[in-house]
This record gives sequence, structure tokens and C-alpha cells, in this order.
Amino acid sequence: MKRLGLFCLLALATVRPSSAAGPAPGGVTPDARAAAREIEMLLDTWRFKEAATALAVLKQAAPEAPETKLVDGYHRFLTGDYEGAVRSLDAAAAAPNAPPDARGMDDLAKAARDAVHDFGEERSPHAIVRYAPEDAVLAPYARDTVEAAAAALRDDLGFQPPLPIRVELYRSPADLAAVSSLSVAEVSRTGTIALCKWARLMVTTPRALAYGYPWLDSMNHELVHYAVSTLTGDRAPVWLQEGLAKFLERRWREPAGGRIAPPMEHLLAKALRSGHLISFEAMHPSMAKLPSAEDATLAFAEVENAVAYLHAKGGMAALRDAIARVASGEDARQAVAAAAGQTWPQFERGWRAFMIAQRYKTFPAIDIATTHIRKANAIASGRKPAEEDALTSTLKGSAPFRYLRLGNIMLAHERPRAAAAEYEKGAKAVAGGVRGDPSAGWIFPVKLGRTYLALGEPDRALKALGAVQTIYPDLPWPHLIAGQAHLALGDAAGAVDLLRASIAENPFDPRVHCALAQAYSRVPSAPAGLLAREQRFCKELGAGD
Amino acid sequence: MQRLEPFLLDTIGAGMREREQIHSFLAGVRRRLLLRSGLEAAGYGVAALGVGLLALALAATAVGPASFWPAVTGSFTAVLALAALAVGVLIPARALRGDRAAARRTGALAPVLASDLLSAVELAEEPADPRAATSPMLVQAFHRQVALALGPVTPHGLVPLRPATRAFAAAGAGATILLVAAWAWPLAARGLRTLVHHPSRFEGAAVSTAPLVGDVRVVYTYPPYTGLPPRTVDGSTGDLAAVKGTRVHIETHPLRQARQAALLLGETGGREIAAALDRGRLTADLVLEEDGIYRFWLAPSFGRAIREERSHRLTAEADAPPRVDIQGPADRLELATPRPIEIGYSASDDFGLGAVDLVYRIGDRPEQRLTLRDGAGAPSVQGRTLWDPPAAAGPPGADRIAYRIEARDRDAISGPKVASSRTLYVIIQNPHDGSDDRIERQHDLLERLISDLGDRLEMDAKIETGGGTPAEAAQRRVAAIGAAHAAEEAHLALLGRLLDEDRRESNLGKTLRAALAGIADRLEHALRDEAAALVAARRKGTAGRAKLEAAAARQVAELEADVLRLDDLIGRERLEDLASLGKELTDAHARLQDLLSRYQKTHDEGLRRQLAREARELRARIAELAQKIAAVQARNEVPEEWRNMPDMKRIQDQARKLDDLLERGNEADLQKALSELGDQLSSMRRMLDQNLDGFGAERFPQENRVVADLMKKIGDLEGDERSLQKETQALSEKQEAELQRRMKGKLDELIRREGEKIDRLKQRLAGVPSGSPESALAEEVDRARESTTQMRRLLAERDLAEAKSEAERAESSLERAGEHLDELAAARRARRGSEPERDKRAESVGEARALAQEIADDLAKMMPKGAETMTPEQREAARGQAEKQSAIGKRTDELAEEAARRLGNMPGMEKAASDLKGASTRMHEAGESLKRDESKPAATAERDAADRLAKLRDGMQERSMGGSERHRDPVRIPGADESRAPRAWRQELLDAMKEKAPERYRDEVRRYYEELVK
Repeated sequence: MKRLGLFCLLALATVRPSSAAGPAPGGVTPDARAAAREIEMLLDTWRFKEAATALAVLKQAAPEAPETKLVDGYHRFLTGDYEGAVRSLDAAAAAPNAPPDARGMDDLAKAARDAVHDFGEERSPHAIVRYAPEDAVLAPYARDTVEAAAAALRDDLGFQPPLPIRVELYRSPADLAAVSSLSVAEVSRTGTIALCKWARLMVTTPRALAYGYPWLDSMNHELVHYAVSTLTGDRAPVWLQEGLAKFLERRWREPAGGRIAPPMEHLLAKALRSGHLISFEAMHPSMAKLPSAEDATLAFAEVENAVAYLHAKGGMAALRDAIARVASGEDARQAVAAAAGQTWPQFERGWRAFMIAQRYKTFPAIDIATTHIRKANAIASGRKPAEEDALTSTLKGSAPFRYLRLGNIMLAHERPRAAAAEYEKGAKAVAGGVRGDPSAGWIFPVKLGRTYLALGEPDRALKALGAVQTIYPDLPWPHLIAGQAHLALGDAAGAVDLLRASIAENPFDPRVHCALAQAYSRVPSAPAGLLAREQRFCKELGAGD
Repeated sequence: MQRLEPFLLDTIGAGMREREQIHSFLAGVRRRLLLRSGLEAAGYGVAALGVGLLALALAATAVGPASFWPAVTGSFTAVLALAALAVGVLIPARALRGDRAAARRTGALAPVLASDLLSAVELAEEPADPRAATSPMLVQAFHRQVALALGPVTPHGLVPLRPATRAFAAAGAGATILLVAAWAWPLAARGLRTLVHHPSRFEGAAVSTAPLVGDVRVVYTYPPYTGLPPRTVDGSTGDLAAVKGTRVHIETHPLRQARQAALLLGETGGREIAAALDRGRLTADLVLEEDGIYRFWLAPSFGRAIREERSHRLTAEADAPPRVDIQGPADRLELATPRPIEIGYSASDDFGLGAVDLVYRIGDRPEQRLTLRDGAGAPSVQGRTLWDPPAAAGPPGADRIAYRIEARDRDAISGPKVASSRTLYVIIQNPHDGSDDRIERQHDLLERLISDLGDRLEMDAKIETGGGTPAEAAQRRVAAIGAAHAAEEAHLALLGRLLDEDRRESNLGKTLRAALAGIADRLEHALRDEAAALVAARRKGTAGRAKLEAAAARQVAELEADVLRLDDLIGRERLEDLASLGKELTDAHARLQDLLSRYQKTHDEGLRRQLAREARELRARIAELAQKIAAVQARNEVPEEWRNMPDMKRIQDQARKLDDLLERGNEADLQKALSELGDQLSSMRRMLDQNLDGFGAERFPQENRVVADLMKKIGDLEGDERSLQKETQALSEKQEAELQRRMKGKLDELIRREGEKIDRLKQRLAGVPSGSPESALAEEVDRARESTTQMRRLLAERDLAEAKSEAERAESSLERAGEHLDELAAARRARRGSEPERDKRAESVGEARALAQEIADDLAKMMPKGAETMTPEQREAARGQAEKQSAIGKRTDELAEEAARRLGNMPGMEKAASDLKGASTRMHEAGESLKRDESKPAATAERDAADRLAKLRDGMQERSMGGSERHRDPVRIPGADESRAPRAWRQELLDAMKEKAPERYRDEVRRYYEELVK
């Protein structure tokens, strides 16, 4: 870092005499152009402090040069000053000898500005969270998660963020597409819901998905990218980036090395069985560019296992070593193998053996959560995600769906016993007829769990949920209902974990906050601030219902 | 007395008493005689009068009424009375004057007393010669003797009245004869009346069977309001006929010498109008107020006056009330919100129209009127107007506005007469109000069904908690099923009542009615089965329970199906309701945009007010939608996944902002705010539509399939029609090419020549100021101008057939424009009361019309007939295409029937069948054109038919399960603006319009054709 900094200063020092000699035709000297390129490089590698210093020099030397405007706009864009970025980039793009990428950059800055024009902001020592007014409930959890994750990353990888980490929570995947370099089709096809790019975490609100998603894990996943990009000077290839991010994404809430998520396990088990793994090359330039969400999920599973294997071989030190090697310019494969004390072929063989040793299994009709992006009107309405949003058309066209509707009607008319009778009929009908439909696999247990809870039968509720919690860990409702059941059974501490897991999927359901408030109130060690927060959200979100 | 001695006083006193006694006697006789004589004279006089009057009456009958008869009668009566007085009173009184005459008369009546009585009277007188005086004592004694003799005699006895009785009998007879004759003999009676009647001039005049006047000249001066000029009729028969209030001046020459003349009015000449005579010329003036007759009367210098036997008629023609007609979009137009309505009207009057008003009444409130135009004396007016019916600020619910056109004439004589058109109605009823009520009923029923189903589903749990032996549990179950059964029967009865009520009031929609009837039937059937099973279970115990369980299970299944069905219907209605409200809001916004842009251009205060009013209405509708959305969310009537609702608070705030800006008049900000509101409303509508579409697709897949199936068939038809159109188009191009070929060499010259004529026509038309752009004249002139422009274009494209059609259209328009100018001229005459200067516009229009006719004729001459421009093969192809068209048309008809059958009950799809029929009609026209070897109009009709099918398909796509069309655009008179009529048909009509109708029907016929071709 120090070396690079010195280089920048030297480069800028050469700008001054040329500038003093007068501008070249078009107002830009070759030196200024070179200096701008250098600043751009610094910004690309997220070395903001050095870039800011160099930019200040350039602005003095060639304040009106389109290149200066461009890098100034770029700098502002990366630091979250979208208004200022648009001003500078407009000027750059409007210049007669506009740099070729000024227009594209200008469009991106405008999209970013428009996407957050009415956003609120919440700050903490390491985080700046921007959110839509209707998503205010996300902010405190996002902020706390970034803080917890930053601490974990400092411990694990030695990462110290150079600037407060900016998190932007967008209203829809369409907004995410608009502010990223991905197309709407790509976002939709791959189910991309979060990105780390241009020095910020770009996250789609869980409101935009049919039943929420593990948005806090996803955010942390992007934060790991942020850290790895910073630590490697953005030299880590995609597979390593994603492997590390996936492996460390739950570090904000649990120790490293946990089991991979069931959908990944399912796909990986299938791939290992068939031998159709995604190659590392295919993962370049981005996982989001893979042809489908399933491929992306499988790729994630593969790379997570690779890092898990590295971690198994050498712990966090091995991970730090590999990152340092990559940062020093070593090939990523060699770096990883070396960090594990092996050659790459050895590492590869060991990794495959590691995966096989996990004895991954397939799950019938498992759902790939990220595919359930809600319809635009559902997102625009501000309505919170509901179970029925996520049901497949297969289920809706089947006989069990009638029982589901009847159960819902009965429940809405405060006839829980009758509702349970209908849901039980539905569950029975599913067992007999709608095999292979993921939503049919969880909807009736969820409904029955809720109904039994309403009937004051928490044991039956937990029993009804049974395997659903395990197979569908990304669903918020099993966690919620189980948490409520634990609460009803007097296990407040157990309830807190479950309810927080539910919030980590879908924080818009007031019931989860009400239950969590209740649980906190029964746990003596729970901080008063958390209790107050949950009580507030219980009230606020409940009022909107 | 001074000469009498005192000693003689006693003697003298006695003598005096006797003399007085004699004198009294004689006076009594005299009175009696005079009475009898008077009575006799009166009696006979009366008798004579009776006979005399009868005789005179007979004479008067023979002579006739005359002014002298009363004098004759009076004279006769007076003479007779005087004679009677003389004979009966005066003469006898004179004869009996003095005692001596009385004594003689008494003596005559009583000869015994005659000498003494006379002597006594004489002795009582003073002697003329004192020497001849006799002894008083003797005289006294004599007198005493006479008095004594008179003692038994009385005047009554001496003079009886019997002779007077006879006279009275004669009088009675005479009077009786007269009375009987007057009563029983008309002739005598008429004579008697004539004797006392003073006759009028009419009665008194002699009757002439020959005319009394000659060379009658009549000058009519009409009431000013009619606007008619004075009219002179020479050689008149004397019969007068004109509108009431007309002043008539008569000039004539009497055919007899006369010193006085008059016009005797009526059958008996009850009224007279003095006529002036001056040097052999008779003049008279009268005002025609009422029908009647009159006769001339002339009085000669000498002799009896004379009058005409034959009367002359007086005819006061009534000013007829105006005739007025109205046209509206429908006799009974139902609107969700007040929207401008197009109203067509026509009025005519025999003597010129006054004001033409639109009269409307909101509910029971007083009538209000809006003057549409002042007829200003024109004999007829017609026009169209856009009327914005006001929203009544009454209680919520339907506002019934009755409206009609009222026209007045300008009758200043009898007072203006008012005519009224038939009354049309616009019912402004928010459909959402009705839908709320309907949904409420369904909701109520659904609640009961859910309750029934819930009871059944919870039955087992309740029985389980009851404990006891299995047998007891089984018994409790039978009882529970029985209780549920009874409740359901009660609810079924409720449903039956609801359906009965609907049969009377039709307040449920078709779809709901059918659904509820189906539910009722199925439930009734299931309950019947269960009732039988219940009876069996109660009787047979365990043996019957299996059957009961099966029946109960069927009942649960039925209830489940019904609950879902009803829930679907309610959900769809709610979402349709919201979606249609959303559409109304975006429509209203579009209208606001339009109003604002018009206001920005004109700054018209009326537009600003309208803008403010519609903005307020929009805000109210937004509030209504917000309320409904809140209700839907609160009542859980729609599943959560379709409850994607917009942020209504934000929209309401924006609408409020709009109101504020409007008040402040900040146009720039207003435009911006309106645009933002538009974005929000569009997004809101999209959201509501998507809810409805998604719901419909998921919950009503069968209906969607029906729509999809029909859409596919329509698509197939459209494809076939377009394919055929291509063939026909190709044929048409060949035909056109042949036409061009035949006209080669002539065409350029023709186009140049006709182009010059078109230029001249344009110039003529440019010089026709047509007044108000909304006037009928302006419309016609504009049409002619448009046709001229089209002519120029078509000629440049070498499309002679269409250019000819346009020339004919221009000619027709100009003909009608000429008629309008005639009307205007008539109206001006009416206003000014004199012949106006010739309207130069009429000349220009006339010249333009002649030019248009000339162009049409030129083109007609140049163009060969259709068949001449086709080869036999092409004619054969045309026949083939006609057959294909016929087959497609038949399929379209069949599809129309299918659509009527399958889509008739589906919301938003009701018009599909009629739209298909419309397309089929165009196909038929295309086929007919092909049969006539006219490929060009055939291709046009085919394209139109295909377009109609495409439009229908798009509409079905859009309306698929969606709400019906509701907007704020004006409600037009059907067919009033858009020309959907086939060109050939229009041409036929235009040809027909050229045929002159009888004068009195011209207006009606013209209006009829205008309506047809508009």
C-alpha cells in the first residue's frame, strides 16, 4: 500500500510542470490523462485515501479536463455522493473530447441517484445503511450485522475497512439491475439479489422476494467480497471470492465451518453423483452470469467446499495466507494450494474427497429460494411477503390447494379447528398427489403449525413443522412458528434464536417482532435496547397491517 | 143667509135636509152609471185590442220584421184605449153632468119618479125671476114628499152592472183568442213578436241574392312576429283567411247606390264593422281574431236597406305550436358519473322559432333550463350540443335526470306556444354503490355457509371432548349432524328467499344469480339425502349411521365447493370493482390533462371552473377508492396475494395538492403535479388490473379458457380475412392498373383539367363565411372543403373512383348548405319584415355546387365500368373471392352466436357477439362488391372487417375478466360522429338524398339522411 501510494504521488508530481506549460489541444495534457488513469486504478482497487489525495492534485492541475471530471465523478460515485457524481460525469460526458466510458459511468451514477433518491440513512462506526422509507425495519439489523461481521472479518482475515461500509437496500431486483452492470434478465435468471461492487454492498430488500430470503447472510456475503477485494487489491478470482464469501457469510452469527444450506447440499449431491460440476473458469467473470440460479447455487456450493477444505487443512491462518499470496500477485490456485501446503492437483483431489466425505444428500422437491422474486405490483404495494405468494402454479392447480384455501378461510373466520381439519386434508392430499412440488412440501406444515399454535397446541405445532425447518432453512415462517411454539412452551432463549433466524429471512412480519419482544422480556440477559426495538417494530408493523 | 128671517130658520133647515137627500141620491145614481159605462168600455176595448193585435200580427208575419211594427202596435193600442176612455168615461160623465141630467136619467130609469124628481131638482134651484118664487113651505113639502118617494129607491138597484159583465166576457174572449193564437199558432206568435221587436240592420235589411259589391281587393297585414310581408289579393271572393291577428283592409265597389254601408259579422249580423263610402268606393278594416262570416250591408238613400244573402268566410288561422325532436345516446342512459352527453335536436315552426331550450329536472327538484339557441324567427333549427349533466348533491344513490328540448314560437298574438320533445333520461348511478350492496348480500350468505362448514368440520373435535362411550359419542354425532342439518336448512331457506327477491327485483347479476341458484339446487339435493339418512340413522341406529356418514361427507364436500365458489365470486367482484374504479380515475385524469391543456391555450374561465369541478370529483373518487381498498383489506375478502394495493394516501395527497394549485392558478406547477398524479394513477391502475387479471386467471381458469378459445377463433377469422383481403387487394390493383391503362393519355389531361376545377371549387368555398363553427351551414361547408381536399389527393393518386365519390359528397354537402342558406334567408325576412338583400353566400355555394357536380360528371364519364376493367379470369377470381368471403362471413356469424351463448354472462364480454355481427356485415358487403366486379370497395370492406376483428380481439384481451368501460369522455349519440357506414352504402344514401322530397317533408327527409350518413 505504501509503495503504491508513493507511486501515485510521483505520478501526480509529473503532472504539474506539464500543466504549467499549458494544456494540450482539448484541454488535457497526456500527463493529466495518465494521472487520471492512475486515480481510476486506485479507485478500482478501493484505495480511496490514496485516490482522494491524487485526485485533489489533479483537480488543481486540470480542473476542467474531462478526464478530471470523470475520475472526480467516479470517486464521488464510489463514495456514495451520487448527486455530485452525476454533476461531474455530466460535465465529462458533455465535453467535446469526452472519455469513452464517461457516458456509461454517468448513466450508472444517475441510476444510483434515482434508486436512492428518497432513502433514509443510518450510520454506525463501520456502516452506512441506506434504505427505502418502507424498509426502515431493515436498517438496525443491517447495521448490527455489518458491525458484527466487520468484527469477525477483522479477527478472521485481519480486514480493516478503509471507509465506513456502505450498504444500500434496494426496493426491487429491477433497481439492483439498474445500479449494477447486470441486466434485468440476468438478475432475474440467476436470482441475484445482492452484489458488492463499486465499494458498496447492494442488497435487495427481502420484501421483494416471495417469502424473504437470508438477507443478512447475503449482506455479509457481500461484505466478505468487500474485504477480500480490499485485501487482494481485487486480484482474487471469482471462485475464490465466492468461496470465501460463502464460507464466511454466517460468521456474523456463528462459527465458521457449518454445514452448507440444504438447497446447495441437494444440488451438490446431484452434481457429485452425475459428475457435472461447474468449472472455476465458468464462474468468471461473475456467478451472476451463470445460466441459471441452480448453476449459481451449485457453483457456490463447490467453492464454499473448496474454502471449507482449505479451512479444514489450516484454519483461518490458511485463509489469510492464501489471500496474502493472491494480493502479492500469485496465481489464486497456486496460492490456495500453497496455503494448504499442497500442490493444486493435490488440493483438487483433496477437495473432491472432502466433498464426498460430507455425504451430501438430495431432498425431494427442494426449493431454490432466490427464484421467488415477487411480482412488481406486489413489491410496489409495500405489502409484506406472504406464504401464498410463493406457491407454485402446480400446487395452485391441484386439489390440495382447495383445502389450503378453505383452511385459510376458516382461519380468517377464527375457526382454527375447522382450518386445521382442512389443512390436514390438504397435507394428506399432497402426500397422495402433488409430489415434487416444493411449495406443497412446506405450505401445509407451516399452516398446520400456525393453526395448532392458535389452538394452544405448541407441541403439535413443532411436530407439524418437523423436517421443514431443516429442509427449508431459508423460509422465515417455520422459524417464526417454532419460535412462538418454544415461547409458548416456556423456552424463551430457544425462541430468541429461532425468531432472530426468522428476522434474518423476513423482518416485515410483525408477529416475529412481537414474539421476539416477548422472548427478550423473559430472558434476563437480553439487552434492554433490543427489547425496546422489538416492541417498537411489533407495534409499528402491526399498525400497518 | 143674511136675507133669511130668523123665524124661518127651522123651516128652512128642514127643507135643506130633504134637498140634500135628493142631491145625494142623484149623485149616487150618476156614479153608478159612470162606473157601468167605464166597465163596459174597458171590456169591449180589450176585446177589440185582442182581435186587432191578432190581425196586426198576421199582417206583420206577412210583411216581415220592420222597424214600424212596434209603432203601429203602440198606436193601435193607444187609439183603442182612448176610444174606450171617451166612450166609457168622458161622454157619459158629460151627459150626466148636473142634478137635472141625473134626474132625467133617473126618471128614465124609474118613470114613477121622473116628474117629481125633476121638479124637485128644479124647485131646489134659485129662481131666475124672484117674482116667480113659490112658497118655500110648499117647496119644502114637495121636497119632503119626493124625498119620501126616493126613500125605498137606491142607486144600486136603479143602475145594475149586468151590462158591464157582458163587456168583460167579450174582453176575456178577445184576450183568450190572442193568447191561444200566440201559443198554438206559430205564425201568429211570430207576428206578435214582430209587432214588438225592434230589428237589427241585418234583420231589417232586405236580402239580396245577387252580390252587392264587386272588384274586391284585400290587403293582409300579418302580425309583426311572423315576419311575413303584407299580401294583397286582387279579385278576391271576399273570403278572408290569414293567421290570427292579421289586419285586413278591404276595398270594393258597391253595385248599388248607397248612402251607408257596413260589414255585418256573424250569422245574424250581431257585430258590425263600419265601412267607408267615398266616391263609389267602399273600404273597411278588420282584424282577424276568430273564424266567422260576414256580409255586406248597404243602405240606399231611400227605401229599405239591403244585405247579401251569401256570407263571406273569415278564417283566423291558428299559429301552430312548434315541432321539436330530440336525440340522445339512449332513451335511458345509465352513467357511473356525470359525463358530457351529446344531444341532437331539431325544431321547426310555421311562423318562426323563438328560443330552443334544454330543460332538465334532477330527481324531484324544480326544472332548470338552458337556452341552446335563439331561433330568431327561423322556420327550423337543428344542432348538436354537449351537455354536462350536473351531479346532484342529493343523497347517495341514483340521480335521475329527465331532459328534453323545449321550443317556443314567437306568437305575440295568442302568446308564445311551447312544444316539447319526448323526455330522455340519464341515470347517474355509481355502479359501485350497487355492487357494494350485491357483494354485501353474497358476503352474508358466505358467512353462513362458512359457519355451517365450520360447524361440520369441528364436529368431531367437539364430540371427542365430550367423552363417554363410543355409543354415546355416536349418538351425539347423529344429534350434532341433525343440528347442523337444521341450521343449513334454515340457511337454504334464506338463500331461496334471496333468489325469490331477485326474481322480483333483479338486483343480482346474471353470473351471481346462476351461481346462487346452482348452490341452492345442490345444497337442497344434498340436504334431502342427508335428511333421509338422518331418519334412518335415528331409527336403525348403527345400521343407518354409515349411510348418514356418507351423506354428511357429501354435504361437507358440497359446502366446501360452495364456499370456494362464492368466495371466488366475491373476490372477483371486489377486484373488478376496484379495477374499474382505477380505470375511471385514469380516464378522469386524462380528461383533466386535456382540460388543462385547453385551458392553458385559451384561459377560458368556463374551462377553469370545469377543471376545478372535475379535479374535485377526481379527489372524491380517489377517496372512494381508498375507502374501498381499506374495506377490502379489513374484511379479508380477497386473498392476500391479490391484495397488492397502491399507497392511496400518497395519491390523495397529490390530488389535494392539485386542488391547491388550481386555486392558486399556478399553471406550471399544476401541470407538473397533474403529471405526477397521472403517473401515480397509472401505476395504481396497473396494480389493480394485475390483481384482477391474476385472480381471474387463477380462480376462473375455465372462463379464461372460453375467452382464450374465442379469441383464438377470432384470430383465425382475422387471419383468413386478411389473407382474402390481400388477394382482393391484388385484384383491385390489377383492376386499377387496367383502368389506368385504359385512361392512359387521357388521364394527365383529365387530372390537369379537373385539378383546375378543384382549385376553383376551393376558391369558391374559401369565400363562403359560414358563421358559427357549430352551425349546420358551417358543418356542411367544412364537409365540402374536406371533400375537396380529398378530391385533390385522390386525383393525384389517380384514384378516380374515390375522387368521383368525394366530388359527389361535396355536391351533396353544398346542396344541403344551400338549403341552410335558404332557411337563414327566411329567418332574416321574418326578422326584418321585408325582402332582404340577396345573400352572396348563396351565390358562392350555388357556384361551388355546380362545380362539384361538374367534376363528378367529368369523372363518371371518364371511368369505365367495373366489369370492363377485368379480364374473364379476373372476374372468375372475383367470384371465387366472393365465395371465400361468404364462407368466412358464415363462420363469423356462427362465432357471433357462440359468443352470445358463451360470453353473454361474462362481465365485460357482453358486446363481443354484436361486434362480430358488425364484422360479418362488412364481410357481406365485401362479397357483394366482389360479385359486382368492384374489387376496390371489396378490399376496403375486407380490411375494415379484419380490423374490427382485431379490435375485438384486443378488447377481449384487455377486458378479459376485467371491468367494463367507464370514463369521462362525452357520451355520443350512437353513430353520430364516426363514419362506420360502408362507402357504397353511404354513396347510395347520398344519391337518395339528391331526390327531391315534397316541400313539406324536405326538412324531415334531410335530417333523416343526415343522421344515417353521419
